[in-house]
Amino acid sequence: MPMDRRTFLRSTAATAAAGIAAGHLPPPALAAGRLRVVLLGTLAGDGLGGAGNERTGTAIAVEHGGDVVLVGCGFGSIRRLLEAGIETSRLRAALVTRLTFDQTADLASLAMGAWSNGSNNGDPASPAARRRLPILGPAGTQAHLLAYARQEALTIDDQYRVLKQVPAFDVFARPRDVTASAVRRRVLRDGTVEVAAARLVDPRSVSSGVVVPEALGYRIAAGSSAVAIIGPCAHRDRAVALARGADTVVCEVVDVEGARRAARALGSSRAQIAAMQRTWTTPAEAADLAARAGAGTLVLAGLVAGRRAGHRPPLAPRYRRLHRTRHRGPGSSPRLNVAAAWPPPVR
Amino acid sequence: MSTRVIVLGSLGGQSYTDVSGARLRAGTSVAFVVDGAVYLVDCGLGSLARLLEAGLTPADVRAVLVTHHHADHTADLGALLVHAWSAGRRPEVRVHGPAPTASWVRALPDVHRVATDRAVAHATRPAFSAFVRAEEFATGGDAAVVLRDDRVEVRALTVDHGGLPSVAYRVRTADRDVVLSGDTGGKTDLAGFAAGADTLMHEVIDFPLAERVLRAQGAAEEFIGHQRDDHSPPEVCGATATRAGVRTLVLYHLIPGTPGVTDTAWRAKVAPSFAGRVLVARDLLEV
Repeated sequence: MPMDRRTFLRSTAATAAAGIAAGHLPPPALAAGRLRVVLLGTLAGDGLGGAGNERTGTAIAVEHGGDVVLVGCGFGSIRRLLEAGIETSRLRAALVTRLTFDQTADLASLAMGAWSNGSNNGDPASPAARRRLPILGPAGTQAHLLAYARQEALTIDDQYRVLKQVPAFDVFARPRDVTASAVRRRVLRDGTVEVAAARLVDPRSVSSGVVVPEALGYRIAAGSSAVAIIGPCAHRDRAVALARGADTVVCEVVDVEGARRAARALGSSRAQIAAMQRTWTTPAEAADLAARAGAGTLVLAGLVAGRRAGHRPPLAPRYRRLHRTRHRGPGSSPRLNVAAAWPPPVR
Repeated sequence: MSTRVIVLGSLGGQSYTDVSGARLRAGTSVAFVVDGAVYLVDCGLGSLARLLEAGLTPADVRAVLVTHHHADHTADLGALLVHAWSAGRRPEVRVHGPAPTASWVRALPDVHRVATDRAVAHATRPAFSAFVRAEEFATGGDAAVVLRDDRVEVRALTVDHGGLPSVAYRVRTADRDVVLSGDTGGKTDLAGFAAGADTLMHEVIDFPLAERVLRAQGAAEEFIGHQRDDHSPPEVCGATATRAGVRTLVLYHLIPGTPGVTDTAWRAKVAPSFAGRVLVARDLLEV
């Protein structure tokens, strides 16, 4: 996937600016077989500390032709999806790497919103009635969506029975727990797009009474192009194997000092922070990972804010600096992109 | 004591497409900021992001008032509450609204079970299930006070919006008195409820335009009828504002919310029935 820094920044800025100015942005045509990555939301971590209006929760759209696979659905993701000109009808699947707020805050609403966007024609034989949205994630994903369906039962019933939405919600939204193995395994195929997953944090893999959630990494491939998306990771070798040969690695990274400071401020103990830290990837470690996988481009996204209260310097320069000053990895480094903040909307 | 009234989301309807205007507008939500405490009326899609853009945070939110449980009014409510909890807000957040507010709140911990269990384990927070308190009230009777504290008094009036229990709210603070229609069809007379308020925020639909789009999409008559009967055309908004004697009418929950229907066009439709000040809502507009 050829996406150098200049192209990346140009396309991001142009996309956002056009969307804001006109509320209208035709997606650029893609070459056949090519994947395009749109970083919709780039803020990771449970809290919104310091989020301001700079970034929304983690969400990455991977486009192939007219089809889109969404990875992560943190707060504001659907807003950004629409601003990027991607209507929910183009979604072929929604994936989450873990069941934390920064991945799931908008997930159930995405299922509802994508469902509500179909035709209210009441015709079970219509093409609209054949719409489906697979929703994949670690253990608990299915329970998350089923609980949401129970929570919204009255609304869903009104939408389906009274307002004639087709198909039924539980037919449309297809949540599934991915039983990913340590090595990469295909979990979804839709047309020409394939999704593979590997488990990068094992369930309850960290002891000391601290529950760290299971986490998956994904590899999305179409034609000769592949993108690997790495969130929390306690097994870097597995991540390298998942990403091997991908054009681009999108990696969630943590400014360790900042994140530790933020965790302490929230009352986390030393042992708890240490447990979490085993799943964090620093910018330098991300560079090593991408180099070992042979990826041409590394994108630092899913930036964990970890800022002091009231202190809101731009994130991207800080992560770029961390990468430059700490990277001591072997061999040549991949090209680096640090996710730019989405320009704030017109006030 | 000073009150700011900020439109966080100005779009009506559950269609998130170019035709609806969802690229530009978040779903319905209005924030009352009263001496730093935030009271939200509805929490539609994208309103949490708008809250942050307005310089506020989920931890500032003291209470949410839901007009009814259609997704264009509640899509971001769960995300708002989990982030308020995650930010360490104390005490709890109250969610006021008609049925099924109580069961909705009861079910919320199950939806976020994995994430909240994990967070409790690593950061010694109170249980999420104790963090959100439902304040469901009955509908169908006369207007009644549903929230009163040291900053606001809120009254609710049942309105007619099809299958789901729905209300309008009147929010009074020391310096503001604002009525929000919620979603309502023409059968409800809001003028008495809004009499003497300084501002009426009224939902609005350009039904002829919406109908053309819906028919082109092959929508069922039931759905088209819901748009016609359970929402308010501009002339009803204007006439209600005139009879209520308010100084300012804010058109919000716009259907459609596309740039093609300009503010000037909306104002022109209201002008024959209301001579006061008319604002057409957009996201982050301060009223």
